Amino acid sequence: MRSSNNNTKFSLVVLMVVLCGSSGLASAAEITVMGYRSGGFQENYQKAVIDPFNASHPEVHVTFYGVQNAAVSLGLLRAQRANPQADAVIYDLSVAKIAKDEGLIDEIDMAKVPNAERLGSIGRELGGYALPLTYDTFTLVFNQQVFADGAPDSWKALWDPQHRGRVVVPAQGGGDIQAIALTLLTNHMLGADSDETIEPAIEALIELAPAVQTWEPKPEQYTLVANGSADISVGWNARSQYFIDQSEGLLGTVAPQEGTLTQVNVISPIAGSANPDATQTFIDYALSAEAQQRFSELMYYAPTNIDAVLDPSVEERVPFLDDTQHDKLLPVDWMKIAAARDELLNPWRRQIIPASR
Amino acid sequence: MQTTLSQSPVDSLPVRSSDASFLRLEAITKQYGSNSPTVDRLDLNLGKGQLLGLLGPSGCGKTTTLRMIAGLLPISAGRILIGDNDISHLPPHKRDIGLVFQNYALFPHMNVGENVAFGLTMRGIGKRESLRRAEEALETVRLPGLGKRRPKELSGGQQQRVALARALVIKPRLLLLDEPLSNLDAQLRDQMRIEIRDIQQLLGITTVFVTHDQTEALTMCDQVGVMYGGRLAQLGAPEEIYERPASMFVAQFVGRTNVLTGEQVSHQQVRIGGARYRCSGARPHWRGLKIAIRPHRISLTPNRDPSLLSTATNCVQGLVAAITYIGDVLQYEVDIGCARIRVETPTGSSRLRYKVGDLVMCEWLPQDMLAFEG
Amino acid sequence: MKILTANSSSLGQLKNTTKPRLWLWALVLLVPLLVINLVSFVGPITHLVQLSFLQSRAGVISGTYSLENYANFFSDGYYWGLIGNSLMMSFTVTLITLGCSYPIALFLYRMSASSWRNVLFVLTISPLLVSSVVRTYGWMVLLGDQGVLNSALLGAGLLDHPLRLVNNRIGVAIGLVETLVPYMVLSLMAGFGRLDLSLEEAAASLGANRIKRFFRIILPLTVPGIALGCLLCFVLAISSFITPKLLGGGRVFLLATEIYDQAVIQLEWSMAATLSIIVLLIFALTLFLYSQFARRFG
Repeated sequence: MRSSNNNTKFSLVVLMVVLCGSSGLASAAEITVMGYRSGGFQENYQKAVIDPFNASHPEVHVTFYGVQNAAVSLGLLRAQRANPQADAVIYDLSVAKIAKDEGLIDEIDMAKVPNAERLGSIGRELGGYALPLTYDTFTLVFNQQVFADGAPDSWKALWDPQHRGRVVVPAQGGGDIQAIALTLLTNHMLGADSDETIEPAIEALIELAPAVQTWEPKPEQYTLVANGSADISVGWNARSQYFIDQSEGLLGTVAPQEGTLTQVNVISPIAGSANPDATQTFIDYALSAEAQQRFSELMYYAPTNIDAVLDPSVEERVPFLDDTQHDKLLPVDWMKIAAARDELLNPWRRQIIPASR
Repeated sequence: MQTTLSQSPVDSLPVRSSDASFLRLEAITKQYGSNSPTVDRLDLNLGKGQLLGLLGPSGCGKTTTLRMIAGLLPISAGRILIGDNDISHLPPHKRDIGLVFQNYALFPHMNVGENVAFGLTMRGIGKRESLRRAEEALETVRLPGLGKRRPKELSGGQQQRVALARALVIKPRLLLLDEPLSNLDAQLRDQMRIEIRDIQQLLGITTVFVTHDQTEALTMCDQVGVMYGGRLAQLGAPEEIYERPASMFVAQFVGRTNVLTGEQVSHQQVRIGGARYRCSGARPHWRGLKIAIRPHRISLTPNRDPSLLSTATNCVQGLVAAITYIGDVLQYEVDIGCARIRVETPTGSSRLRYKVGDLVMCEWLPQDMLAFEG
Repeated sequence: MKILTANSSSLGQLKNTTKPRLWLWALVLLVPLLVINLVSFVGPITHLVQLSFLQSRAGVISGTYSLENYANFFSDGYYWGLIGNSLMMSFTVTLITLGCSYPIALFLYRMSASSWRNVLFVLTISPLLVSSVVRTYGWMVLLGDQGVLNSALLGAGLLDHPLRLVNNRIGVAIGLVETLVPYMVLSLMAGFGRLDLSLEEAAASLGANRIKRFFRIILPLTVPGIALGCLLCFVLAISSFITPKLLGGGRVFLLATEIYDQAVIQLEWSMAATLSIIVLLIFALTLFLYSQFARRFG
């Protein structure tokens, strides 16, 4: 059942990529960028970056190919190693580490991507192999009606007994990075150093477990909290802001006083691309201040290009750009985390989640 | 065979006992919705130890009647009594009636012994005792030692006997047989007919036997009920049914018959075509007259002047139109002007044979003419 | 006698001349099937086996073959727990499915052929026409804390706090049973061939009441259907991951969900392949047991 499902998915992907690749004009260099599909990402990226790029660069034609998550991107890179169907990929930094180690991605020629010099310092660990494209922060997500007296200001709100059975912690099925983020932040909140031990966080989370309604929210936690199925959850600022607009204010999000951490989406050129030059032209454009500004204003990401300046009404909804929050950001070594995924995720599946049964 | 039978484990009841009715059907009716009833106010009495054959074309309601007696179909109206017990509304498993199906209905997941023992174990008899009695019952039907076989390993005739043994071993008050011979080949059918009759007589078990085959009904049964359209067209001994059918339907259904249209001339005479014949039994108020004559009751003689013949018999001149050889009889189609009649004569080297185109005299006795309204 | 000999020898000649050609035809006709099988089954399985022996570090697959994944699997109680969970869940779900489906199948099988029977039959298998994902979302709406069922029970004052019917094993079991009932009904009906009303009538005439008729006649005769249905549902249950994912709230850990997690979340494709091979082995064992059973009771 599973494998046939994947087979179908795979052949569909191949078919679509082939169709995409063959439909455009023969004279322009055709490149395909693989990235996230859901939550408005594909739609807004097309609007903010790809359409303007195609308009201003007649010699290159870019097509966006949306996938479910970073893991699917990695799967496609592996499956198409011999004959890649995409030229660049937008995905999570920790997944990029695996792609680099497996030789699935190329290094950018910095001379051809001048905007790479103008990027922020976070998420630069992979150098030319993966350049930071967006910054996002981990936040508390809450229901405005439940918290009518005021937004929660601490991660501790999750442990509040009055929300017992109404807490959502997305740790399973695509919630891996959120589980890791919550582990690190809890550990940090308890004053422990995650380089040495994550035991305090695990103990605290085991304590939280019985209060959790679901570890794998379907639909996403933002919807469950907005429609009142749950009181409080954790999530990403960008998606929270998207759902705040969608739910007309039923949802609230906040970066707690203990501080938060940053998730980095990066862009990599794919090894074996037929059009490396056009790909780098596009990457440079994607990292430019104007593209960064347009996309960030639609998605509430923080731009990675330090020259990009957002509209103040957007800026105030991006904790990363708030000076107090920015100072409190928990530094995260995603490279180390990529290597220690098992150590960080196994306690969830073996200790924390089983404590909730 | 007789010795085996006499060793029967099944307690012998007095053979061929009284005429007092044992099975009584009182106006039983089966009606589905507002359709015309499948069985319509059927009355029937059957003496203890008697074998009743229910005979009729398909759809006449004979199997429905049997199933109602067995309790497999609820009756819409009326009463069913065995002895003095009203069993009209007893569920089948409380009726104590043995049943043999056309397809034998042997349990495929049990061996032959277990099949036969089934009814006994249902009655709370221990497994070993049940199997012992089952083996004895199998001896009664001449299948000793086959207890360990699977039903599908047996021939049709053997399966039939197993089904019979299974129905009899519980010593039922009544035995019902639903077309039990129709799945057997002709030779086996004759043999089983005799065997079933022998066993029935030996055990003196009151039996109802459903068949569409008149030979089976006539040869085996004490009483034959001919059914038509959900009703009993006639009930009587085989000879009565054959010789004195109550209706043209019975006359035609039981045995072969010629049907002629005529009119009544007087109390003693009828006219068919242009000729007059001696015949009693017709009634003046009838709207029409139909005459039935059995083909083998007509004899053929060489052509001669009709006035020379005895007035005690009826006769008519005819022309042989066709001849069919059927082995034991020769069947002539004889054209008598107003109709073509069938005449059957036994075969035999000493007998006169006629050819197609021969003129012949057809003769029959007045009492062989059966008159019906119609 | 002479004629007979002549006949049989000419028959033999006929056989000798036609046999190779027939064989060739059979082969030609088999080719498409073989190709499809090779591409869609043998190929992926071979790849899966190969992958399951490859070493992997933090999701990065190296080119080295080893038994490391299997060693990890067999030495780790967590995975044994998964096998236990999966078997337990599949057994339970199969039994409940059987209990729900048997009366339906028996009723439909015995119904005289009519348009009503067709309507009911189509209704029974109609869930197959709707994606199981859609149906599972339906269950979430029905069974959630604020779902139809809990709202009704809370509203009627029968409960003080909602029943936990989703985001746990109960939810997964309910969802799986619902998904599997059509398969079970179809298999049962396919296996009811030996069931014949006259057998039940014969048993009734021999003194068996309803209960005895069921246990002595109907049940033994339908064992092939039961075995077939249980085999199918067990295999489907143990390999299903969408329903456990959607209704398990992330707290129901099964082999199938673990394979998904290892492949998609942990990005440990080698371990996912190893687990898939383990599931295949469980399938093989199940099929073996079924064939033994079928030989004995078939």
